[in-house]
Amino acid sequence: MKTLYFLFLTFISTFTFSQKTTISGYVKDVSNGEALVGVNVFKKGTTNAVQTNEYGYFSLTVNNPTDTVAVSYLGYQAQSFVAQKYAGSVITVKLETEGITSGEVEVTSQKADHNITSTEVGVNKVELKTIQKMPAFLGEVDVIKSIQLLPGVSSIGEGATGFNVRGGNIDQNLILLDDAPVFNASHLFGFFSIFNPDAVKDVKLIKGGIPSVYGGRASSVLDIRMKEGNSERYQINGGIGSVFSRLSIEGPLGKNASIILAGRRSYLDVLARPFLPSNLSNGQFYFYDFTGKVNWRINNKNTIFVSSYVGRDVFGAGFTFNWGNSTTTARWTSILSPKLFLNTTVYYSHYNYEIGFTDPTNASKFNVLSDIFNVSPKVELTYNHSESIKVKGGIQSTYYTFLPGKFTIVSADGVTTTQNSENRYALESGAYIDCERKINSRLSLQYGLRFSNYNYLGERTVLVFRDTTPNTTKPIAREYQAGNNEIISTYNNWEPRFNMNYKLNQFSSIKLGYNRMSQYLQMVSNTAASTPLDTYLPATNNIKPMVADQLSIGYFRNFLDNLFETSVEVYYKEMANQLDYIDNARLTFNKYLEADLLQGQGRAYGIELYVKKTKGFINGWISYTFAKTERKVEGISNDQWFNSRFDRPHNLALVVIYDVNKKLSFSTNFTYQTGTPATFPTSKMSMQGLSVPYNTDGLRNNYRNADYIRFDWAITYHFDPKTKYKIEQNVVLSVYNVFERRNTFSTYFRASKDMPNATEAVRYSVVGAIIPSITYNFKF
Amino acid sequence: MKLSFKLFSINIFLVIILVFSSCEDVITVKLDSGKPLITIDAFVNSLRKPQEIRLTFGTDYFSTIENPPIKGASVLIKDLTSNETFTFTEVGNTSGAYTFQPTPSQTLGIVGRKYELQIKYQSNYYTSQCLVNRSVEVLDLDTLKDYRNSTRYALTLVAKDVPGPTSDFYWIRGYRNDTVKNTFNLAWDAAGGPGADGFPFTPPIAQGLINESGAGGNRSKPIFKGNTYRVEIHSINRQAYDFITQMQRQVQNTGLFATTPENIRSNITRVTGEQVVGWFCLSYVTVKEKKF
Repeated sequence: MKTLYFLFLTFISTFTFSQKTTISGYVKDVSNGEALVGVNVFKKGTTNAVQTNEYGYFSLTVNNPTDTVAVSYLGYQAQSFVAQKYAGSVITVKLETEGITSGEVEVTSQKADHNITSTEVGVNKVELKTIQKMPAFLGEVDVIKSIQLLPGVSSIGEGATGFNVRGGNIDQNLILLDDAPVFNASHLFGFFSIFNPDAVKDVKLIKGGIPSVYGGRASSVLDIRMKEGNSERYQINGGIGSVFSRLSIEGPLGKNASIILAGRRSYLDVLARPFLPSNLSNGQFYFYDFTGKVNWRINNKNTIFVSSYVGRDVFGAGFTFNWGNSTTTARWTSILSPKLFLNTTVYYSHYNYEIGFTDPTNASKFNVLSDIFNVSPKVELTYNHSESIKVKGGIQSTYYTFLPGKFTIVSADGVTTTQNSENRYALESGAYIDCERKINSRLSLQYGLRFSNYNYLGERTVLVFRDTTPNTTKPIAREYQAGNNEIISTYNNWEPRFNMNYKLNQFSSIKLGYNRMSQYLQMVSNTAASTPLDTYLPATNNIKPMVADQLSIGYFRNFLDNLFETSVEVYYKEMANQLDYIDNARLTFNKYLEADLLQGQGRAYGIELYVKKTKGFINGWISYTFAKTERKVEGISNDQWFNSRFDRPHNLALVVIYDVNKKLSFSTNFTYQTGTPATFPTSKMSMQGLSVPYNTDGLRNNYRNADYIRFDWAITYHFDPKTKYKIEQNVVLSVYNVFERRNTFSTYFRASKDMPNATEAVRYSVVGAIIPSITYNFKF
Repeated sequence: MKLSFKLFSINIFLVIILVFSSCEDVITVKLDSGKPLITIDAFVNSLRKPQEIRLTFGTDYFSTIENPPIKGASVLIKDLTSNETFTFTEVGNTSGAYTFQPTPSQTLGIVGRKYELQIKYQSNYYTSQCLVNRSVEVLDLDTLKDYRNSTRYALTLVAKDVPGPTSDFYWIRGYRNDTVKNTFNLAWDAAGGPGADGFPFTPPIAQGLINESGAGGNRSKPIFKGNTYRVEIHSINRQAYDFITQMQRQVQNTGLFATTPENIRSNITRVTGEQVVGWFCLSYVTVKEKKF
């Protein structure tokens, strides 16, 4: 804390103070009261603008009280006023959308040349309106699936949970829902993400140059903000799709508050029941999520919101298997002075799964519960010194509780036994400072430092292992008992962050970003796709935290008055202490799990090309990435570098949206990716009558599966709004995998069923057919 | 636990296959040739039946010939307590089998004793040791009324794990008319993982004796009337449990949650000679046979 205070002073002391006029306040959309993020507020006749922050707040200082202040935002009518009229008070500027004569109103949450002027490097934003128009798997609009079409982002295939950013594992993405981290962002393993598009306001993916306000994950930040709810009038959104039915309601709560409630439930179970085999017909098979947020503006200077998410996947047929997340965030934002903005957040996040098994013939039962809880307070102070200097500082602490397994066994004669795996506790704290400075009209910097401190805590048995031959279970040297809250091991990391933007001219800039990230929790999984049973393991006395360094350089250029945005980015990333596993590791319900884990190095590098057409009847983007990602772990693949499971050197994505007229729009996606690496055998050996595959070279990921190619399209038709009730309706028809290509998810080897001595390679495809779907949406 | 999860995933996959049309196709893949590999398959037990150890060479993965036999090796197991040796002799066939038939005066596999496998082949010399663990008494083989259909009967094992002090591991083999019908029914105490010490075998294990469609397997399938069913419970150790689990994973490694393919482990010590892979396990066996 002392260090932070000192740093804050150092940063502040470099600025000069003077008496000028400061205007501060919020910018909102007049139609629904949603805060507008990234709106330009500037003194008329100058180019130095400030942007509204994620709450729509701005603070601008002008030299002269008679200066005119302008508020402008693409797609909205600009407003202006004389500074002295509102000096000293907190104003709310309500912007109205521009009446555009043809096509849809283009609303983007940033100004047209944001990509050139901001210091952000490796940041992609996707508008929800774009996501909604893109063809989607089974017609379900999906935030996570759509970001996989961005440069530098890939996944190992359909149905796999999560996504890989610049060679990072899926657990290296910090997925934040209104600031609360989400541990498993998938429904049905990985087919759908848990974010209800009706409740999402803004999606931002940070792949490089990650500012110091974020910490705890090595590769990226996916920052998802929920809508505040329409504060002007009540509105109902809904839809009926092939998988989910959705309904959301939002509206004002009295004069100063707004609310949004949104829910989804799958009804595949209902549709599939008649076709299921008899032993599954009484099974359960559904998933749901529920999102809510209340936003209360106490007065001009203070706002509180509480947002919450609960979701669950439920499977059962003579067994129970269910899992889900819940998060709750409460935040208080307060304007202490026109230049000082205070933000206090508390969140709670919980993930758990349950497996149960009941014997239909007698009373015997078996049940396992596993949980992760974390609770975290965070305080952040933003100081808007001038349009060229902004400083942020904050502290955050997170307390984790891991309950790896609670077992209940009921025997046939009704005797109940319970057994608990030992809990793990950890405290992760961070203090950060971040400074944005415009040095001159060409050069802007964003620099910061994060200090993170991590403690692995009792009460639990501490295991100390002896070193052994790599790739075998480490033998236990000793065990001892650590008391309640006793510190078992401590790790500290200084994480410098630096971004620079040098504007070459009005249309182009060069940017540089460096970040060091540390990660204290890692997911334990050695399956192709992560399963809901995969546990998160905190750093322990045996497992060191992961540390990643990334350097990225980008050239950004816009053409034809920002109609086309283009960029080229190059990155290099190194990761230390990545988890790997010994052969035949036992990863679930294993007290000595740490004995089966290995830690190694990772490296990733690549070049990302991106061309985006931002507006017009035809818009969309092309992204191409050339990238490598490799691992090196002692004891694996003869101690040599090997390709990681998600190394896909070539990755091309094309998204085109064509608005034919007000009613009709077409969209297409095309994806081409190099096949994923795979381990193939060289030999077969005979063991207990089985043909067992064996690789005498001992190499991992020595082959590649076939390339991944997919083409999808969608048509959206908007019906004429019913004038009486003002119902907006549309129907989306989408076709997924138009080429009917059987993309390889994995290749496995087995004994042939027909020929006794023969063996064969089998391609497993998750989607093997054309998948059409139809979705109906309404809004009134 | 692992086994029961297996069941869950099979069911879940059915649903996914139904809904998302996932599919499997046999494809052509060009593989590199492997280096020579000597394989020792030495699961032997205390039963007074011919015991077999198989020595073969590995072949290229797609080779359609049977694994070539290793001929002319000397194979013996030595009781390290009594120093008695049991010699396995080459059967004049092409499968690489070396067999030993215990005489009434010979007992291979006494619980609590350690045995050593010694194999000499040309200039290669391989050894491995195994301690014989205890097994459980099989009380009965029974049939269960299926809860959905009162006319069907499923086969179940009536037996309890021996309690403490350390975990017991069993390889449970179910036979119908002398043909083994489930290769991978393993128990860690009474369940598919630790934590069920001294319990009756959990349903996935007790009712997983027979794994063939329509015949007493898969819990809801009926047994064949008039057939003879037999269960053998082989005592193994943790290492053998892990080895069989690993082997199972490697030959059934498919789907969304396939694990990273890996080479199976070996407990054979190479004293001199070429690369070798294999397993030596000497089990004490309890048996129950019943005609239905």
